[in-house]
Amino acid sequence: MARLQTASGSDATVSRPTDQSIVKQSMILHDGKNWTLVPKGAVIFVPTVLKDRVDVKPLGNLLAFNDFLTANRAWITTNEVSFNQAAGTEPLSAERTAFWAKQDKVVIAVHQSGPISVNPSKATQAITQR
Amino acid sequence: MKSLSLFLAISSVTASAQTSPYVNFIRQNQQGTGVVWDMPVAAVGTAPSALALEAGGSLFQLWTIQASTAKDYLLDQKLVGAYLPKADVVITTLDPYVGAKRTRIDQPFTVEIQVSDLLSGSGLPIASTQVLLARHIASYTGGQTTLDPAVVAASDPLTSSFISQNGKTVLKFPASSLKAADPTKALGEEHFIVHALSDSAISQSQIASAKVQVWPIASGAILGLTPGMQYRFKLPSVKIQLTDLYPRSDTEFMVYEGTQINGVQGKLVKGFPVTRDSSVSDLLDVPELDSMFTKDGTYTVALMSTTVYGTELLCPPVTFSLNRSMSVNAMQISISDGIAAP
Repeated sequence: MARLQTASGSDATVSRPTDQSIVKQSMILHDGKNWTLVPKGAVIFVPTVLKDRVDVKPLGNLLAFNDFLTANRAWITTNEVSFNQAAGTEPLSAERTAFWAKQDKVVIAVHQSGPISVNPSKATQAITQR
Repeated sequence: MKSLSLFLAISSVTASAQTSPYVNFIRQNQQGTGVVWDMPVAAVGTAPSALALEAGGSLFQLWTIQASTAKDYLLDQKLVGAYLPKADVVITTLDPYVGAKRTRIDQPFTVEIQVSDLLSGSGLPIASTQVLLARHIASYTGGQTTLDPAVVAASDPLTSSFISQNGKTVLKFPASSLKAADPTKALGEEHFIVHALSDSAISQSQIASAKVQVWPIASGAILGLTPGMQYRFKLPSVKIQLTDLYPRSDTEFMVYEGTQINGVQGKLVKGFPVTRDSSVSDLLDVPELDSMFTKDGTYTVALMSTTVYGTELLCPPVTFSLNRSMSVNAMQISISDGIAAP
């Protein structure tokens, strides 16, 4: 049977940061009534007219991302990216990034229907908001 | 890289059709690239992680947010990592030949094993904290000069041990452990292999290896001459027997005046350089020996081989004497005037 010894001061301790908050580590999207959050860096294009719907305070009705997306297809669209594009080793295709400006919608990067952060690679210039 | 497909079970929280007091998020943070991905989450269920595990691992966090107050709570967190220890094996011998590491059965050699990326800590799988070092020896049979590494690795090792710390391990061997009926004639190879241990997904796999060839000590014989004999006429036919000459060595059959070979300038009778990278045996005639002697006296012949380890005699030198001049001690002369006797 093992005998536990009293811990001395120098023993390694497990630390859990107490001030983590997913809300603070995410970008909030708000449509006036509902809100949801996506990882910082997942919002890859915001047209100027929609600036006040992104990165706002979390007030109102919280929805999961897919529910929020379904309710707000009018002004949000998604762009599927590969893992290499998210990591920044591959750039996003140029014709896609040019298309965003014509759409006038907020573009969220997703990977297999979950929002994913994108590290901008050197070749992608069009990502406007992180 | 070992990758896992991760299945997460999510505990249920109360959910109503219209609004839910809490909304759940599972967030995967890749520690290496910093990519963050939110998994689409149902109230209860499992799903594979879409992102492969990176070297630095992934941090999975289960959050729930209270809808009315936007207060978030971290319910659970797990750090999942992949691991693969790295190793490198370098063998150093006294023979500087760069093609293949080789040494002689009686010569020392050193093996250096560099290990990195072993994890330390408690509760870790054994495959991440230790690697296995195995030493295999195999003899050459029937004129072989090389062995299939896969066959050697499949045999039982001579010794094996675990290495559980990152860094360099140095093993010094004063001589090879190959065995033969005559210990100076053992030849073959020694292989040093480092294996990563098996875990549930992948069986034991080799991550580094090195091998060294071991050649026997050369020997020889001078045939045809008897030590201490005095030769009065033509020398008998002399042969030199050369056995297991070391690769790239030079063998010389020398003759010296007198009975000493140390400190005396000798004459080369026959030379035999080995140009191959394996040991060589031969039996040579030395017809030119007889013509090298111009005067009588005592001579010594010696057979020696020069390798990277020095110059050594292959057999004891043979001393003999030559006495080929004839001297007349007395003469008997008869005189006759041509007249027949009465």
